[in-house]
Amino acid sequence: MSIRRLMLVARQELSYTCRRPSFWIMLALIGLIVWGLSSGNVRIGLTSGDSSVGGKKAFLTSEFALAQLMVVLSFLGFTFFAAVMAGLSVPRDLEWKTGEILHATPLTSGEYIWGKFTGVFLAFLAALVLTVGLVILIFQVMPNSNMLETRGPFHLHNYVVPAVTISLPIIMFTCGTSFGVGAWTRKPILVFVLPIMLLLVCGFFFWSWTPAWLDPRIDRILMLVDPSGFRWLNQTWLKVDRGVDFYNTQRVVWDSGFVWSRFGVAVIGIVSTVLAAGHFGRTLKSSGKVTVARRAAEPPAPGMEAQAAPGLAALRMRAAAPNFWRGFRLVAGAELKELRSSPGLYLFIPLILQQTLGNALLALGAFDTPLLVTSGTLAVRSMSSLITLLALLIVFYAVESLERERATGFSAIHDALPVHTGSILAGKAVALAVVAVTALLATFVGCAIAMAIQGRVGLELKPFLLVWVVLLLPGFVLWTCFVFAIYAIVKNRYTTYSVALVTLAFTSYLLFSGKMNWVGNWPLWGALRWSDISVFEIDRTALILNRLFWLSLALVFLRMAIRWFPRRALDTISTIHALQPARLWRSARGLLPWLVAPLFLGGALWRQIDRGPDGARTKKIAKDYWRKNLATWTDAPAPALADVDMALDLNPRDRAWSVKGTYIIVNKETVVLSKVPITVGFWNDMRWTINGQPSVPDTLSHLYVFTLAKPLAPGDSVRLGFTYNGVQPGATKNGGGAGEFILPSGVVMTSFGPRWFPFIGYLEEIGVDDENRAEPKQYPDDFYKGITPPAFGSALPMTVHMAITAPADFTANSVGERISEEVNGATKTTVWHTDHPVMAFNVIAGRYVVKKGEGTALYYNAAHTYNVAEMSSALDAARKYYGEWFAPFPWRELKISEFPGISTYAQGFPTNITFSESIGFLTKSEPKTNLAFLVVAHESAHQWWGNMLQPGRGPSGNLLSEGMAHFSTALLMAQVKGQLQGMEFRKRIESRYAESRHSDAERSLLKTDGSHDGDGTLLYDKGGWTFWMLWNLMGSEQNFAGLRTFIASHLNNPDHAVLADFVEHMRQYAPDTAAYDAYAKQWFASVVVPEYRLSEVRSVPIGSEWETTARLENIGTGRMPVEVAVTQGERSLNPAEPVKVTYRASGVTVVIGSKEIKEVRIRSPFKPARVVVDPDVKVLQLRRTLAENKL
Amino acid sequence: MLNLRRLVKVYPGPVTALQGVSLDIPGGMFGLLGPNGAGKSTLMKIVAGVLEPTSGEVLLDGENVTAHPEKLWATLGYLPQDFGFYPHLTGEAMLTYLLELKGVESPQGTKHLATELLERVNLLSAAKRKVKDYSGGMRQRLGIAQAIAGDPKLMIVDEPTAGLDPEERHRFYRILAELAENRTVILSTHIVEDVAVLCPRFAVIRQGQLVSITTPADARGGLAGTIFEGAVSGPELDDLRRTRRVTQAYLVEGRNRVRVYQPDRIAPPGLAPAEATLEDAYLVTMQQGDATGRVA
Repeated sequence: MSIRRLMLVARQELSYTCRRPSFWIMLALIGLIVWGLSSGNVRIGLTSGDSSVGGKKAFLTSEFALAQLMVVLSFLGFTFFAAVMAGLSVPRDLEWKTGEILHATPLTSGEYIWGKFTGVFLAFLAALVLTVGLVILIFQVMPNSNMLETRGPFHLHNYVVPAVTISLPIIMFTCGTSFGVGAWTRKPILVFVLPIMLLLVCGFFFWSWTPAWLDPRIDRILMLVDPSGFRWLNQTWLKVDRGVDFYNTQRVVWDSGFVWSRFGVAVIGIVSTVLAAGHFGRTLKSSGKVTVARRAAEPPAPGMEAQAAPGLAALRMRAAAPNFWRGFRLVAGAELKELRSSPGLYLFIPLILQQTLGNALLALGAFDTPLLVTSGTLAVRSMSSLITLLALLIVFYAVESLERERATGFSAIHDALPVHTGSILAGKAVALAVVAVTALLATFVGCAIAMAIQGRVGLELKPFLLVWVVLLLPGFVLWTCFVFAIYAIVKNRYTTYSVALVTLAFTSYLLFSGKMNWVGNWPLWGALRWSDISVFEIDRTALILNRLFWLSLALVFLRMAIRWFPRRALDTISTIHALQPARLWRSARGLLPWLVAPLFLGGALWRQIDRGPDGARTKKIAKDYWRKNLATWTDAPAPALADVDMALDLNPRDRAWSVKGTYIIVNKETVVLSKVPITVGFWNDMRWTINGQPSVPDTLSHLYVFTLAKPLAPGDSVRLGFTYNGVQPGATKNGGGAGEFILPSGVVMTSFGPRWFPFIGYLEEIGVDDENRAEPKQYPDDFYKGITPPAFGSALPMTVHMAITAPADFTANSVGERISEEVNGATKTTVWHTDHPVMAFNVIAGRYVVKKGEGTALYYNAAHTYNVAEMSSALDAARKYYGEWFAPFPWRELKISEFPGISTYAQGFPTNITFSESIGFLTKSEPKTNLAFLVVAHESAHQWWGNMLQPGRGPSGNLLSEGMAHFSTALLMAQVKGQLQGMEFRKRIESRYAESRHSDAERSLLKTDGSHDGDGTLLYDKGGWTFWMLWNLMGSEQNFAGLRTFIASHLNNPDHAVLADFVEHMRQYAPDTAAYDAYAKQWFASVVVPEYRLSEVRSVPIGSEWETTARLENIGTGRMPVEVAVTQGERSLNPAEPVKVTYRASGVTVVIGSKEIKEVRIRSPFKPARVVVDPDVKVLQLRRTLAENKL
Repeated sequence: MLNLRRLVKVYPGPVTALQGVSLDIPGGMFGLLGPNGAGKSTLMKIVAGVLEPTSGEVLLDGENVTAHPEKLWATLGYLPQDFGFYPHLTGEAMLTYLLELKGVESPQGTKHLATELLERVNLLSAAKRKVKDYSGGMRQRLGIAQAIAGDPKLMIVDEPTAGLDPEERHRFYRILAELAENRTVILSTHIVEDVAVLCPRFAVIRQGQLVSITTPADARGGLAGTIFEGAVSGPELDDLRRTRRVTQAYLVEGRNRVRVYQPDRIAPPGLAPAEATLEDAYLVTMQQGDATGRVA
């Protein structure tokens, strides 16, 4: 091999690659991403830090952040471009027919292949160097106020090491494998299999499928085989937040396994090239032989009989140019034949199948619960990956199809054929449609297999037809026309790829930056939410307009493609001529009629968004409300609601409702009130009365202020009467779903805001967004002393009388007990009355069947029977055990009502729990994570913790609602499902805490107010764990005794409780106050969380026993007694089965503080298999899976 | 009747490939003769409607087809200089496809017609082989088969005999001659013999300009008595090149023979008068162009 010749080829390839527009488009795309990141327009992974003013921020310039950036840039910037440029390097020479001349020189096939690979690899190496330089320039040099807090000191290694460790192997892998595929097969379309596969497998599996219950060994394997390296980075360093100080100052420790894996990824690229070089050399020789053989078989020279053949006239040929349809049929036929011989499709099908099956069978919901997939959820879930896959396939197939005539040289004849350009494009589009339909069929087969494996839900065709045919296919048509139009305009394969890929990248940017809306969302990414109950009702108009808008734009693109399709060779000068204003105007004028429909439809769609809850009009009104009233009404004394008497008329079909009712409002303040502020929604025909007399309020941008003729003395009340009607307007911004709604199939309304019912007082959170968001109020430590107002709901216990009129086939539920139900023709009026005071009310309505339990009722959609028994028994158990543990349930019945899964939540209003179909009705109830049971348990717990004990406003108030609900769930899970499932639940919420906490923003539970990053997991998960550990510390009886008196003392109490009240109260019941105080100091007043590691684990037989020694270290914080045990065998999670005899454990309890190391010595009567810290899951800790060693 | 009006084509560079070519081409065979790079293919492509001229127009029977070449394509038989086919199709399938795209039919059906046409170009025995296995000559013959298919009003054949062996070339000549009986056939070539055999009229193009429009007989007649031929030695040939206008110098049985153009009709020493050929006329025309820079 001559290095000189190899480098000659390499130099030529390098020069060619670097001169391609697509190379520079790639760099521009990378530049845009980096700039977007620096300006805050683009965000990626590293979420550590405290976003509050002055809070610690994670540097964008740390090695961790830059490693993440390199993953993103490698995948968005390098993979596709490298695949295209490297993969087409050899096929391009074939098209250019340079092979015969090149290979007739002393250049060997090895020199040729390695020279080509070296050239293209060096080009991307140069791109990587330029990228690193660009990142340094933008992050470290360019002035940028957005980076004031996120720009760290410059360390070259922060940039270079991730580039070498993350990006370089990916580049080598992509260049090598794509180059190998291209050189081996010489078929351009196969080159694209790899980057598409990488994107799908990494994006939808390696990066996202990380359930907490996954075996760490499998997780480790997945980390090492992920070619991007992101899974390793995330699982090892980022998933559990180590704090800003760590990320900003430490370097990534690339463990040896990972380094070898990166090396392996790079080697795969090299091996592909080696294989390709060998194959190329062999086929080059054999193709020469073939040529000789073929030439020998050339037809003989013409004989006399041939020369004597009759003249052409004898053939009586007639010619008439084919019409559009005939031309279309002919082209389509030829394209389909071409497609049949294209191996690409046969490779994509298994890829699609694997992807679909993976998505369906590994689908996870909240708490990493496996989801129960239905036809509709599968159709929608697979749509994003399908449209992404199709978009990429179509780019490559369309360009190859359009390039085919040019690449084969046939265009010289083809371009002058009397076939309509429209016929040609339509014929080619049909072949693409076959690609799309094949992809859809493969996906459908995957879905059918997945549902058959699942074996719970029957396969239905209708949802697939609706989602894939009606909604997805217009996207396919649009994208095809768009790619055709780009190609027609730029007339270049690589530029078409680049423009299409940049368009996809820009669409992704709009989606991930939250700037996407119905108008721009051509692939419907993130816009669809399936509900078996409510099929696309929430944004149906917007959805229809969106599809029509983009279809009409597809026609514009098609028109452009036909107009500019390059059947006539154009050059720069022709292009300049075509750009002359007069000619440009003539071209544009021809397009104008085609633009009418898109402009009209786009305008109508924009108006829908504008009028909707996220629209500019709505935001303006909300902002006006905030601006107008903030100074006057914040913390102004306001009366409280004591009684509601309301007639609510629901018209779900028209999404309308009307209200006639009265509020009795009581002055619970100590001062006289002369004005009553009421926040109102977007309603019509509002009429108001005060004590029966018509009243006209001052209208302050949706805050209606009633001036009372007779000021309200403390304790006095006034009756506010009102009538109005409303219609739910417009569409959401991008199909984001809705928590409250009125839809033809269901209704969810609550009194927590002014959308449906008048709200007493001013709401500080309305009109607040990132532009005007203020830091939360700072409370003194003793803020809870004296009267603490409620965190939510009415400040007074209230009674509600609600008469709901709805369609006769609806069941309308509200708080309290059903007094009557009367059908009047097409409507039914149901009257609800609270049999015990409540603090808030809600209404939920839909078409239900009901399962009655012991003082409970479960209203559910007739098709959703899968978890009904589980949920009903959980509801019964909750009512029974919570009633025994905390306080008797004061209302007659506790009910759950299902609502369409356009939002995924459940909410525990008094007696009337609203429950999304997506959060428990359609999940698999598995022992390791049983969402149906735990959500019922959690929401039922809110009857006690949230309703009976209404928490106080201020830090830690909500902890008594959400944390106690999680604690109750943990107890109920263990009570009903057994200790092992209780442990599993604690593990689930422990890992949620570990993965969601922001260690820098984390404050003690006493100070957690929900305003900081990561506060959610503190209020729910850490709160629940902490209360559970307290229960374990105090003992069940003592703890329950304290809880019972705590609830009793706050029932109907104007002073609402926060955590400090709880801590003080429970101390009275602590059997060991010193231990109690120490615990409270650690877990409530401080931020601690242990993290244990074992080392030097040894086990030796001593007589008939085994002695195991280990070093235990707490690398986290906090001092807790923790058990260390040796175990043998496995425990069964099935409560029906007692603990298997094969499982044995012996342990010791060790008290170990932060950074302490202790020797542990355990004697066991059996040969231990492993050493486990905290085998019974009693101490909240980080990375529990690492606190275990196999022997 | 085909009329070319002031056709200009400027390529980026800028390179002016055509410098205002105007030409009226009547029915029958018309040759376009010129050296490589003279602008023949550019002109053919513009006439065939697959290349947009920078300026100028092409009229077919009085209708301007420059802006709307699709009007032309329905009646065009076109054999480009450089072309290919779908490699995975057989010759027969490829031709059938092209016949269908051109809307060509015959009473016996398209498949039968394809067979007949393949027979005309002597490809019948290779009809079932894939095009990717064809030699250059076979591909050229398949190109000819598609170009002659139908009843094109206008035929454009650009360097059609490239890659054909002598017998195939003559076979093609006969086909073209038959076709030219009732339509316009433009034959673009740099091979003088093609024009000499086929074209009653031809134009010579050089550096994007037409330098002559004539008939073979007129071209030859114009040189009557001015061509002298004889065998010479090497040094004599060098001397002749310096002092005379040598139109052709070639070897016959290892000896130099030379043909000299002598406008004053006085025979150079050692050379005898010879009958002028079309090649002489073409080469003299080219030389005059070199001498004057422009000859019309």
